[in-house]
Amino acid sequence: MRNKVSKKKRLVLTEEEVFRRLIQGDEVGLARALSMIYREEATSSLLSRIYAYNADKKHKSKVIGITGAGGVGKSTLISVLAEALLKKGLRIGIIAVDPSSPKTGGALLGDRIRLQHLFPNPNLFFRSFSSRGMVGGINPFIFDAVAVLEAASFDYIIIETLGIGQDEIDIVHMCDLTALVIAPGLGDDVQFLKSGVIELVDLIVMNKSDLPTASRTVGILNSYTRMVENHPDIIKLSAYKKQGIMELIEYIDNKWQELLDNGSLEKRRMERWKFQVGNWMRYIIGKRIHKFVEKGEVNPKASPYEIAISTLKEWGCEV
Amino acid sequence: MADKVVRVLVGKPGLDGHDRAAKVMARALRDAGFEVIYTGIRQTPAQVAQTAVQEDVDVIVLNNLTGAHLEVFPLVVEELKKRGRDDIYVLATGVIPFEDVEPLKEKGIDEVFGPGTGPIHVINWIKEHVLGEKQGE
Amino acid sequence: MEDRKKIAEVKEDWLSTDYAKFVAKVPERKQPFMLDSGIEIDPLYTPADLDEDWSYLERLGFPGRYPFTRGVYPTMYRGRFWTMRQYAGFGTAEESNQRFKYLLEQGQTGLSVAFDLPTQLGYDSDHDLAIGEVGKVGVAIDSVEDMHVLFDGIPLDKVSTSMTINAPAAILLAMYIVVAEEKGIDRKVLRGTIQNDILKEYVARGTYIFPPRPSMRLIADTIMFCAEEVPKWNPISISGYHIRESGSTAVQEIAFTLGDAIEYVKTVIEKGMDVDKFAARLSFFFASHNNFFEEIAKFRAARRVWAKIMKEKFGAQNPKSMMLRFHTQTAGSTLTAQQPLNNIVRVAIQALAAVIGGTQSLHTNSYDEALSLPTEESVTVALRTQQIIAYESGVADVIDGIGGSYYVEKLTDEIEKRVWEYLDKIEKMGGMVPAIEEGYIQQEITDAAYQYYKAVAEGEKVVVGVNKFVDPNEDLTKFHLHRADPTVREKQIRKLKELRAKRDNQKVRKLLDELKKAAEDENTNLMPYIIEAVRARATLGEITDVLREVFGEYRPPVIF
Ligand SMILES: Nc1nc2c(ncn2[C@@H]2O[C@H](COP(=O)(O)OP(=O)(O)OP(=O)(O)O)[C@@H](O)[C@H]2O)c(=O)[nH]1
Ligand SMILES: [Mg+2]
Repeated sequence: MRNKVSKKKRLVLTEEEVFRRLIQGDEVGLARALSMIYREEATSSLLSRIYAYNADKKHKSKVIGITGAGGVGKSTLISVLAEALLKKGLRIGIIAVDPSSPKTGGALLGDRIRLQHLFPNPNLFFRSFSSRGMVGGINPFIFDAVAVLEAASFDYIIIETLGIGQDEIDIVHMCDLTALVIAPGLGDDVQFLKSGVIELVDLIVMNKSDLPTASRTVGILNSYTRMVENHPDIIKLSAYKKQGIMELIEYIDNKWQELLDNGSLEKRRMERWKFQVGNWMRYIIGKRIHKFVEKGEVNPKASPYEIAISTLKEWGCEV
Repeated sequence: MADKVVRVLVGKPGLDGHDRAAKVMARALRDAGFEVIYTGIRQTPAQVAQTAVQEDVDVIVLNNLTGAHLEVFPLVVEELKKRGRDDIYVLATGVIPFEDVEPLKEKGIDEVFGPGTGPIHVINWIKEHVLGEKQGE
Repeated sequence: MEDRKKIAEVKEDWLSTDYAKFVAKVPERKQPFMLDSGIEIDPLYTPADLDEDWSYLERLGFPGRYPFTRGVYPTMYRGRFWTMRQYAGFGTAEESNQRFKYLLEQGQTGLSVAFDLPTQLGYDSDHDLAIGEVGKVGVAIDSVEDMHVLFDGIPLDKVSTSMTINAPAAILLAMYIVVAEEKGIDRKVLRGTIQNDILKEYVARGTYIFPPRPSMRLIADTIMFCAEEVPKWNPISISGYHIRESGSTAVQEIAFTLGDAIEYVKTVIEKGMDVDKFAARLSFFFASHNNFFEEIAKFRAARRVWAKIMKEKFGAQNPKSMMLRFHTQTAGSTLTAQQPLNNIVRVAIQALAAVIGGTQSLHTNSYDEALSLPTEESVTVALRTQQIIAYESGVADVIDGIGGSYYVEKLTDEIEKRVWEYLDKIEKMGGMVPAIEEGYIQQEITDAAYQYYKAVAEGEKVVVGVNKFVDPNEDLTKFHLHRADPTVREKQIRKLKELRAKRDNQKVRKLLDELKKAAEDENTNLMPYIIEAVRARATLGEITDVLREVFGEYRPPVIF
């Protein structure tokens, strides 16, 4: 069956084209911009244009983070949320991050199955990423991916990540607002209290409230709110039964407006920006260290502190 | 992240609900080191195509076991064309008789993997065409 | 018999001397020998390998008696052979009708209907999703008018009709009833089966429409309706076949099928019906695969587990409620496109296992199925295979001829044990519905399927003609596919247009509204409402849409 081997040339777009199509909201350009960032093919000038463009434009996307343990219903929630927002005529961009196999680098990205039924739709964009190459959840590309979606002027940008511990919680630095999704389950529902994640999010969404076991989780939540004064807001809903979705949207819109009006949003976005600078530095330096250790340029028996200081000095940093 | 990322969409257009073959394919592709996106069952050609565009995949592996391939697979190619992305490779897998190979290829399917073939043949094809091509660039 | 202890001692001695010496010289082919179910196979089984408390009367008993391990009937095939039920055929209602008439002329009394995918998913032929699918894997049915064509000239009071239909089974049953009644036949005399087994659709076959909970209600409605109104009808055929074909192990096939069955029984009992009023009408459907002893043990274990479940868990009194009656089909997934004649041998071995395992009816696959629609010749060979087993092999002359084999008894026990482990786990999860919603069942099957794939890909598992004894010159281009008439969809669309122009649309609307209201109240049996809508010529798609509106559509969890 190999007689007629076809050879295709993968579509190549210039930086100029990518940028132009991206800001027009064209899917091919948008998808390619994300690929370039993900594959580390994006030039620094493309990124500069995107950030400059975002800084100047009036339209602001609401960047919402959805995190939580595996199987709590994040993807289902996002699908019903997207469905409701689409009905309002809004444009929605979604990013989902799934883990990849450390051994082969391969990954199965399945989050979008849950909202495939909403396609085809010109107002809905979904992109699956693997956490490939991320160290402790930190990889700068995902922040820049959000900037790309902002440049495409979506009304809502939703980011789904698996968040169970401190490591994965970088999502809060990426988003204007972050919701932690919890659900009744075999003890999983208490885990979030211990994780420390809870102190960082704006909102706890208790999903699967249609389940008979949900009352237990409600009990846990109640005793928690009685104990802690400054706890995040709590919304109970059922993504499965599509109950409480409108309330969630209303909450998000109001909260976002409030953050905008009182100046917190700008502060948060500034923090995000700073965090991303740090991310890039860590990432670049990390790669450098990896390289010169591999090349045997440093003495592996030396104290790490000594190497850090001498290297930074070599790079002209004051230490 | 210098190594090549190959992204593959496993798509199941048509109403066929038997997804063992598609899931085994998805897992085998993952174990071969590719990033695999699976659409799930019961997709229209437009759904498959829009997904491929948004995910900017290198290859689409279509699977259908109920004989709708001749009608449905070419529609995926058409939908890709409409979106300006018919440069994406489209492979056909499933219960596809030999006499359908040429008609499918004429309508833009790049290769057909019928009875007697398995994921390994698809993996090798992708390695040869996507990775080989890139390495040559 | 010598006592266990003595046998155990001698076996130990044999293992450490004769056996060990031999192995040292000629190592065994595998290390260890395993069944796909994860059961390790010892080199030899003796009475000492059975459980300490192994009791003939408790574990085996007698045919036709609890726990039915040796068979559900007292004489088994000494009385009557199993039913040799070969089904085939697709296309338009007219074509299928011709085929039915031919089969009836040949003396066959059972009809079997396969439906195309749009019908199975509750879409009319003019729906966008039906493009390329109308009439493909079965007949297209949009309204009761099509059903009239399908059964034109067929005495519905004399034949038994089996319909492979699940999510919209209630609607197709309603159509069958209406056709019969419009021919002047009482629903009370109708005989047949609808598959109506939705739970396996979520985990294996994929033709689901609604979420599990409303689907369970529809099934309970049909079971209860049939118990009262269509007493000779089998309202469900609980199927492990598709679970196995989607890659499960033998243990999983039995465990998940019985898990599904438990869920159905529970649901109907919760609705207030006495278990003995409907349980005898439950029927099962399994696959028969290549591992001869494992398959036989699987069937025996299944009978024993089901009998215990019905007696102990559900308190059934009538022995008929405890009997696991099943249809078997040889495993289509084991057939190879390479060297297709080899498939005749595979089918024969699988069929033999089903017969020794005590099946009530059997479908043998045609050897060329992996290549094309079966030819007349290949269908005949498949049927002849059953006849050779029946008339020549002698296995049908004795009941459970393999019973008492130390290996088979041990395997039967071992499979039963593992089935119970799964069932306990499922019960802890709250039953089969939550286990499916959480994706647990799907994950178990998918993992098994992938392991099997890897074992074959890596050559650890041999498939003759595929990864060993390959014929390098083999020409695989012989493969052909049956082409459904491409104009079927147009014809169906035309018929639909005519129907909608002709019928009393106001009445249809009114009946659909009533159906909707009934659907909103969980305690109303939907069957009478569906029957009335069908009678007024509401289409399959229209009725399903009403239910979709109330029940919603199922979205599967993400499992690879
Ligand atoms: N009962 C109930 N089940 C729900 C609800 N929301 C989601 N589920 C189910 O929970 C399971 C997991 O849902 P997903 O949306 O895939 O969960 P997720 O958090 O995205 O999972 P990962 O991406 O694997 O981390 C599925 O079987 C859903 O059907 C709900 O509100 N109620
Ligand atoms: Mg998810």
